[in-house]
Amino acid sequence: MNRLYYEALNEEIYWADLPSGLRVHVIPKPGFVKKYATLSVRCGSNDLTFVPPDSSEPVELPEGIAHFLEHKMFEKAEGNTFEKYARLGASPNAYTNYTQTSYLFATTERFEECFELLLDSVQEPYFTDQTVEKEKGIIEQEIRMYDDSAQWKVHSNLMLALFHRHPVRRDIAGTVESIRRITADMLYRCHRTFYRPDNMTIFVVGDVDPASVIQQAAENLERHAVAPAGPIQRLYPEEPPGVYRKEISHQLAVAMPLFSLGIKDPDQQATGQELVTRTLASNIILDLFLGRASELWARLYDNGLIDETFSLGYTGETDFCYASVSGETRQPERVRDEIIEAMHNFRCQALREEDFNRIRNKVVGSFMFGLNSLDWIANLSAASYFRGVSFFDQFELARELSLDQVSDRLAVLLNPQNCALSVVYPRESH
Amino acid sequence: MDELPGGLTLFHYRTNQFKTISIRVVLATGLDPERATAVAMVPAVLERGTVGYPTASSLARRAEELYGARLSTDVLKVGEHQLVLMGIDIVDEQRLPGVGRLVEEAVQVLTELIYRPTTRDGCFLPEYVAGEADVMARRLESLANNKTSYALHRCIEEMCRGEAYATYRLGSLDRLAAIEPCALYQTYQNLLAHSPLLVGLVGDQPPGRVRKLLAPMAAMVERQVVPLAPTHLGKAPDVVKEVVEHQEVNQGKLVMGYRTGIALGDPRLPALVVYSGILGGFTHSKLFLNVRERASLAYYASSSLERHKGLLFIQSGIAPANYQPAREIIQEQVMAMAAGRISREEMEFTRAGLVSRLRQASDSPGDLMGFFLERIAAGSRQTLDEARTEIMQVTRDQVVEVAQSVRPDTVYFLSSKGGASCEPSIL
Repeated sequence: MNRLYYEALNEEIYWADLPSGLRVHVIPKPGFVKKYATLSVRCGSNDLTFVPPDSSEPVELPEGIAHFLEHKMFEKAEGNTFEKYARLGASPNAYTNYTQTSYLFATTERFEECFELLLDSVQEPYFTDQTVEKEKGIIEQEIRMYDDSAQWKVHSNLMLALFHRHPVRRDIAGTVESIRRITADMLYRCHRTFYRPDNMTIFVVGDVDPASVIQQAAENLERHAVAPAGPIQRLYPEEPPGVYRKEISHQLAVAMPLFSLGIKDPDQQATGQELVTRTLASNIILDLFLGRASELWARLYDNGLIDETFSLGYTGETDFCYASVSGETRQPERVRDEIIEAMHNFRCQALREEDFNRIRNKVVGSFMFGLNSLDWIANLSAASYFRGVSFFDQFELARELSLDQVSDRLAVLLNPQNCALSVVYPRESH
Repeated sequence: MDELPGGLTLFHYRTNQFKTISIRVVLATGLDPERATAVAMVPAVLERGTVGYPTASSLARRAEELYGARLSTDVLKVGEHQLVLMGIDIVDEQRLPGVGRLVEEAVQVLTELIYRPTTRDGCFLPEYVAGEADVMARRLESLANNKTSYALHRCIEEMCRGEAYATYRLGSLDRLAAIEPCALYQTYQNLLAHSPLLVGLVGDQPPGRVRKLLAPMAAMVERQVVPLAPTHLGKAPDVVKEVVEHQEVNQGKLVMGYRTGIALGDPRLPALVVYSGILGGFTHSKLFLNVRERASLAYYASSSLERHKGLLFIQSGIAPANYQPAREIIQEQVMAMAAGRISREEMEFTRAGLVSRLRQASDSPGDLMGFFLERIAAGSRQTLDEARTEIMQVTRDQVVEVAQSVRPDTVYFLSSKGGASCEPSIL
């Protein structure tokens, strides 16, 4: 068992690498009544084409397979896992994103039993043609819910505009047509390939004893006896530089247009500290350029172009990176034009030390806010683990970030050439 | 909790669990359709600038300087009361050495926001009011952008027509044009002078210091508090109202509104909370199991309570063609509850789940603040422990008894263009 103590935060993390290749992490939070555990699998909606360990031929599965699998992991021969958690007074949940699937629970009582249930349920698949068919109706309603969500639509269309071929263009839940093709066999194949200890990780956060959590995980994994299989070959198409389309628009039954202006980062591949530093620096640039205290924000707001729905952020994944600026507006194209116009000037200006320090301290502060939430810690920890960096190191990297590192990124990121606009307009009245 | 002179209730929850300090100032007033829009405009105009920080940007910059302090305002509808919230969250200076005196500076910024707005000749600035009226107009229009919350709002509007509760928390578009900078400033002065004032702090501060920091908040203006009228619970109609609205949507949104006649302060409330939990609060609940897991009709099917007016809402997203079958399955579950078809396990799982949620509330500054502010605003002094004990003591008989007082009022369905129940689903 390893331990690292972060003095500035007064936080510590314990971890151990099990023989099966799985790393278990424990972040003790004395004083909290909630105990939170996640078992995360590096299998997201992007993982559609791959070479399974038991084959040399690539396999391509229907869009939405990872999310479908997530739904079905709760059903077992003897009943559904929700009920078993309910018996223990715990709340289970799961989510799938582009790069990972996480299974989790929060509980105040009977942690060991809940943890055992989590470990067993994710490692023991049970699919039949009948249960798979039944799930299609539920997932179809989930997809239709997203189809009506203007926020989701404006985001997924932005992915279509920014990327030429990358699988991030596909909807996480798939389409009504693609999920109809999913079979029990495909789910087993996906499970066999990705749900292996060396492709998963565990984070437990709360007032628990690290040694016993690690011991329990080790015994459970040993019982399931799955050996490390080595890295999974995921086949991604080559992504050309630049954006695929400058603009994509769509109509929905909304009252106010929604826009999302994306900036595709010319640097698409990175891991570890490099990716974290890039993400931090990019977020600081966006905040300096368009944050609440910026001149541009004030001008757009005073001209009635943006409102409190306006948001910005940088997404840094190991194989796709972009910034986005989103919100509701009556004039999406004008917002885009004003931002791009301002971008031309801003990228050539020197950043002021005072502004940089203020925003960097804000980033440090927001990390402190996050540490109040066990859910936030566990979910972000798993994501950073798969990106190859330890969670608390991000705090140190933020504190050490220099003006030079941020300045170096400025003209790279804020490039008008790499911008694309996604808009959802109100449907024209009939 | 302290009752201080000037009608100020000071609430403090001390814990060293968090790395932040949260402060909220709440002004409570009656929800009045005539006035609600103006009340909702007030915090928006305050955020435009103060004497010391005359623009929204300079105010935002000041908050950023305090290690990203989060200055915020909000307007809530709690029963038939409208609450104006103004607050600040800051990093606890004891948890991040070397950052300076953040707490005092944060209180200073919050006081500035509340008591020193930018004014000219005793009025808010016309350009700020006009700008915020435009933002508010967009906000009210875009209510239709989120179909789930739109459907719930529409159900409430139909169900409570003629009652104050039908008013949206931010008021309405048709009242915006009449808002005028001097009258709005007067609305705010009246709120400050006559509304019950609640100040809350969650974080690791000694009680004496909290009092010293926050008590002056009530002493800034002359105050003469006018007590709020209680919320009217209202009655269900003899015939259930049905409203079907059509929009170009892929998924229909079903909202079924019920009146329970049971609100905060009623000894039957804990049993009603358990009732709603068994019906649709969890993944072991009747609605989840029957509408989603057995019939595969929906991704979500749940129930929730409005504890101040005693309303219960059932919500589900379904294919437009499944309106009738979904409604029938839901009604069967409500009838099963009234007929006492509640298993020992349903009782146990639900009590355990509710108790666990209440225990977990103490792990989040936001949940703690929400739990206490909601209760204090309704005159309740209940603690988390008391709320938990109440739930644990609820019996099956009590749940069946409250099930008898749950009366259907309105069924609202947001359907696709072309029909609610006769259109085949799109295959």
